[in-house]
Amino acid sequence: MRTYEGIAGERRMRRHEKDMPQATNYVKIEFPSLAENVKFARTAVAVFAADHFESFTIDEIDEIKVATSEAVSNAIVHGYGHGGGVVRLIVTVEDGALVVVVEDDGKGIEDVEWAKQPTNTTAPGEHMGLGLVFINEYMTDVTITSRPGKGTRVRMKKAPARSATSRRAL
Amino acid sequence: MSVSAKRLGRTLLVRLDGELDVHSSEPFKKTVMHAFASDRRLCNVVLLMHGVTFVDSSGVGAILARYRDAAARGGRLAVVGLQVPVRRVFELSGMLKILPVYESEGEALAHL
Repeated sequence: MRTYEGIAGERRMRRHEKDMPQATNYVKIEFPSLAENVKFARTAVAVFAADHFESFTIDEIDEIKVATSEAVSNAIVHGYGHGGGVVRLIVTVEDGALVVVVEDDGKGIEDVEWAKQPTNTTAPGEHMGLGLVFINEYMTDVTITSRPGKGTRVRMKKAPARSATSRRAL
Repeated sequence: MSVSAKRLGRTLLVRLDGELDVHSSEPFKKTVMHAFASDRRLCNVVLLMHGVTFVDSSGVGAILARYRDAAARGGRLAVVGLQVPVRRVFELSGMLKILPVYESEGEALAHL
């Protein structure tokens, strides 16, 4: 049975065979606005993160999973109001950090600063408005750009706290 | 995510396994709501979370809503067996200040 580690090992070997340097790796995933895709999205980002940065700790990978889960859930719940639409997820590496981008073409955010306040939410009920709090706590360089009626884009970074050695540097 | 529940007097024991997010919190929510609707005496909830490996703000929201449902019936909600990532999210969201957390089912039942 092939494991993630096995696949990563094969990739490293192929990279070696083809001779470095190579272009910065990225993954772009597009999926319909369905809540069942949130798990896939955060798992995919976690695998990419662990694959590219050996020095991410388990806690850091957990934080990346939470932040991705929040951004994708926001796109589905707030951007599209649980309705139809497409969510785009882009994961890449930049200056020794993982970069995660989540985009939707949903209703957008009228006031991004308001949305950032804990307990402010446009979907009351069981949603607590904590999503952006987690994103800001667990990630760095968080930028949210939104145009009402057009959509929202969340871009966030995270570098391993423990040394800057990444597998790409080996 | 798998959800199973059993009644013990006025307490509903709910065992959760897997990852609790916007999608998987639905069966959890329905399980508690159906049990509460079918038995008026039920008022407490004990969440057995040893098998929960991930929770985000949607999962926190779902648990907090069940906490309020229990409180509205004069009962309480307690959680048992928090794994590290779950405990960290609970801490950051302020849940640890609200929810009683226990190490074992027996301990939780003794305190309700």
